[in-house]
Amino acid sequence: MTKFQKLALVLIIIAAVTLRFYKLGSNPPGLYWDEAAYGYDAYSILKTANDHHGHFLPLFFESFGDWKLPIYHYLLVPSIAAFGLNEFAVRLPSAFFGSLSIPLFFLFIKKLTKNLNLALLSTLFLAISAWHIQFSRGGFESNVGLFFVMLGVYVFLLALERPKSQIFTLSFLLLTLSMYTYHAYRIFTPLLMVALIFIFLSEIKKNLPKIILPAQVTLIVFLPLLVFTFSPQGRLRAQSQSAFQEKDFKKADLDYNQKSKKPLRFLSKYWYQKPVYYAYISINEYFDHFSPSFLFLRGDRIGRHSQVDMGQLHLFEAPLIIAGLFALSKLNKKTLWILGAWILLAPIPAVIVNVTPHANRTLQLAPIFAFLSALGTVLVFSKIKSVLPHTVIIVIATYYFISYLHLLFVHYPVKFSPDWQDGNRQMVQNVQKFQDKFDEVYITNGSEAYIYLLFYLKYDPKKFIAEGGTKDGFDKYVFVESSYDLYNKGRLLYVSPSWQRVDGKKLANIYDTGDRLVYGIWEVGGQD
Amino acid sequence: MDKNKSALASKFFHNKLTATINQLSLSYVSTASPRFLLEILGPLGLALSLISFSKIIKKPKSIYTLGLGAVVIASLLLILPIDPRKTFYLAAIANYCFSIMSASYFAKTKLRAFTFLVLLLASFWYFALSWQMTAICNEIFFN
Repeated sequence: MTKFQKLALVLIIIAAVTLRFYKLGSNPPGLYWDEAAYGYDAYSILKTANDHHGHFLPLFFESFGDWKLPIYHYLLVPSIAAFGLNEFAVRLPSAFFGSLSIPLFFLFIKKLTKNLNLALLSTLFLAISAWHIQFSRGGFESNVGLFFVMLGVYVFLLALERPKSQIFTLSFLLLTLSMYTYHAYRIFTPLLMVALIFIFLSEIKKNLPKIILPAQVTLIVFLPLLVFTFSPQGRLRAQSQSAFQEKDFKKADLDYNQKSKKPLRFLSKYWYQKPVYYAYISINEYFDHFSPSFLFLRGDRIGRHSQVDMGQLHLFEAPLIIAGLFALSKLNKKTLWILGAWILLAPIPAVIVNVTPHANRTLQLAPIFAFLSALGTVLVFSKIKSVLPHTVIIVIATYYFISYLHLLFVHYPVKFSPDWQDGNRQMVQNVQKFQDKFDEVYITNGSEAYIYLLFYLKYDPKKFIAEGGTKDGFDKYVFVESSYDLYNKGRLLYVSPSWQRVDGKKLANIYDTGDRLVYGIWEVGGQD
Repeated sequence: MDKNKSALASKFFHNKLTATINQLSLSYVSTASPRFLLEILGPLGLALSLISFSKIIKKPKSIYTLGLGAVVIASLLLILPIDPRKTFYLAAIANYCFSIMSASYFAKTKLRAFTFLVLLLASFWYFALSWQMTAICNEIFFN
């Protein structure tokens, strides 16, 4: 590597770290309820070695009954020990592993293509990738899981060059770790491993004695995850997220029959069957992830997963990616197969769930598109020799990137504060201000309010477990639906949703970062 | 969102040029949306289109590039204020022609021929479940 290339890599890493860490605690605003749950469970592990349900060092976290995977929780323990229980500490592992993914991606592309400049450019595109930055700036398991997948595949490629049992073991364990990190990788990683076996079949056959023991060790590590998948808890999670719901099929069937005339209704009994219908929606959901609108213009419609006012990728990457496709023939066959398998398998975890396109479950597409953008850039700049077109491309790219930064740091915290349940920290601070004058505090349970109380009060987990605290209440806090009858309970403090009319004395209004009214705080009863 | 920022900064990021580019791009790329192409061509047609596109990647100066050019122009017509029925049929015909250009790909081996049959069956089921079957059958049986 030349001095200039080393400097370029260092600058790219610094830029990546800055983009992921700058104002991490306050942007995104608020704390999504899953983040609050990760944080509080990690805090509880730190203080008591139990999660907040009282399970000792759990392998799977009950959380809100959605049974989260363990890795992100345990990564949070040292983060919270060092920085305290706050938004920054909860997002730190994601930002850290997101930043670490950048030099890793450089090594990964360098190994695949043996081209330093291409590796540097790919790293740059991942460093500024809107998709990757979005998931590095929140408490997202997917980002950490992606790091383990990339590292696992990289170490596997190393192991094929220097076949040693230890290196194969490390590779397989890293890939298994990704499956313990995020649910999507329970599907993507095994499929990718099967693809790698086919791609490197001859090398694997040659080194079989060195692979058997690592495979056995990995299987033992993987076993608890396999058992969990088929357990009632694992099935409950799968059913809640599944795109293949009986009620959706019945609704679609009814809708189809209502739109059809009699002969077609008769025939549809034979071809409008559940497996066919599920295959139909799967095909549509798969291809939704390659929609230019999703990639370059509108992104994921869930506000936590994208800027929504732009695509998952920058618009200027569109022509570069198309150019990149024309440069694919220059890559060696095995590299092409790996990238091809990766991009074709990446949308599969999102196909079986009910909201698509889903940027979180397909985060593994981000590095591939970064690579294609880099490949296209190399092709375009090598074919067009004149300086003026190069300058125009760079100016346009810079403009779009600066516009993205404007969206990210100016618009996003204000516009998407509801997507992050912003307002709960403010609510808890105000409850703390007034609660001493009341024996009971009733809080409307709009969005798992109990976890925010636990989190922002830094409530003693030992006490919470000992007193049998639940999502319905602990200490003097009771969590109720907005339709609950408060008026025969004596004098109490009530936190209502913003729209609710309450017969009581208003003590405070709670606003989020976007100045939206989120809650009202009332004194109810005792005004006679 | 920009209320505390200078008017110049706001205009730099939010202006008619970028808004126009975004809107036009959004309209145009929706004609290249895989869902839209699936609805017109079905899985078999989409597979054939991808094969035609891969032939352009291997050999940019070929007849397939002309076919793609026709698709690009026909798709552009879709976003213009012209009779939508006519432009839709033009775009559909252009897409069909582009996909049919690679039909011989499946004739080369038995495995490919089998794949062709599977995709053909998949296309039939796909059209049966999407809007085409109800629209066509309603047209035939009702009119």
